[in-house]
Amino acid sequence: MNKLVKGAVATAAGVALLMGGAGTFALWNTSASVSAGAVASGTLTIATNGAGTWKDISADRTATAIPTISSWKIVPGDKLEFTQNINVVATGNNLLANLSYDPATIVAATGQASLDLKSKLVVTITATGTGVTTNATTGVITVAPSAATIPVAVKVTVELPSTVGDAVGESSIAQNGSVSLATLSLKLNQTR
Amino acid sequence: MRKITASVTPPRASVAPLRRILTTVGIFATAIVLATSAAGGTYAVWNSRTIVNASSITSGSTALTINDVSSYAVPGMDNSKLLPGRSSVSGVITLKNTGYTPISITLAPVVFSDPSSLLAANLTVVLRQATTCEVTPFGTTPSSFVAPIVLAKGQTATVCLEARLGVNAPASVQAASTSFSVPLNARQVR
Repeated sequence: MNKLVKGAVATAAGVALLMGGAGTFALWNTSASVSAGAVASGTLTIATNGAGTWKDISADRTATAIPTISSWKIVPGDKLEFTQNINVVATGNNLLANLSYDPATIVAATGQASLDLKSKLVVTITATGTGVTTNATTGVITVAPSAATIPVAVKVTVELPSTVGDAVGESSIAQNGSVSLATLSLKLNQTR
Repeated sequence: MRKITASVTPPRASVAPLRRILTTVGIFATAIVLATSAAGGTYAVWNSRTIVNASSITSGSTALTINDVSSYAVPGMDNSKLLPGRSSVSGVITLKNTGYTPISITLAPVVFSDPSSLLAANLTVVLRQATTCEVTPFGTTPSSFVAPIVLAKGQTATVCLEARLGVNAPASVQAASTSFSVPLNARQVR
């Protein structure tokens, strides 16, 4: 046979072999199902629980409730505390979140005195509740996850230090100013 | 005679396809970087916030008025009595705390319009706390209040302004005149 014939035979044989396996591939196989349960996601929410209250906690005064904060005139040396109860839902085995306030939601009224007042106010936040811890150095408040809703008491202190007015040319700074906390935002940010 | 000619041009090394590939890769890389940086900082962790109405905070003020004004021009001092060793005294002047804090009032040095004048040099000006204003007797040196006057919010105090010509004032100060101011400092106290 010449080469052409040999090649044709070999090709035909190869095609026949391929056709022999086509369509079945009848190897054994089997399957089984496993019960892997379900994966559920966690939750992170914060909501107020009732209205907040103000109190005068100035160092040289006996702590006294302030029934109407809008009537209060803050002066250097005053330290006021706003207490707001909130409910936190933080579920998720590895969830960690930081509780803080948004400084941008403290808004000065129109006028230089109000801007000065805002710049001189010292605002801090603390919180107490189950699983709520505060870093003694940084002041960062961390909320640990819990299966149940976590009642948290948030305290926002607003202080006008007694040193305000001591600087030369600032003896009357920030007088008759106004700063709004009507839309003060408390926020929870997941950190893990 | 006929002649057949032909030429063969080998294909050039293909650069354009490589450029297109690199361009495509570059576009994808840029898109990936942009997509990642758009979420920068958060990487989609959860957060939640709530708004609390904490009302507003208003600051008070420290304020002092002198006979109901912030700067009071004392009228009616009888300068005809301003002889060597003698005084001219004002009427009762009322200081009032019109601010929101208790204040402590102190006296700053008297400011003469012409401090180098001979009259100013021989004039003693005092502000003393009193309910009625009487001339300090001849031979007794008038003096200003020393201890700060502390006024609670809304409280008042009365003072008298007295100007005395020194007993050794030279004759050249006769018929001379000068003006002066008595600054009062009010400082918030707790």
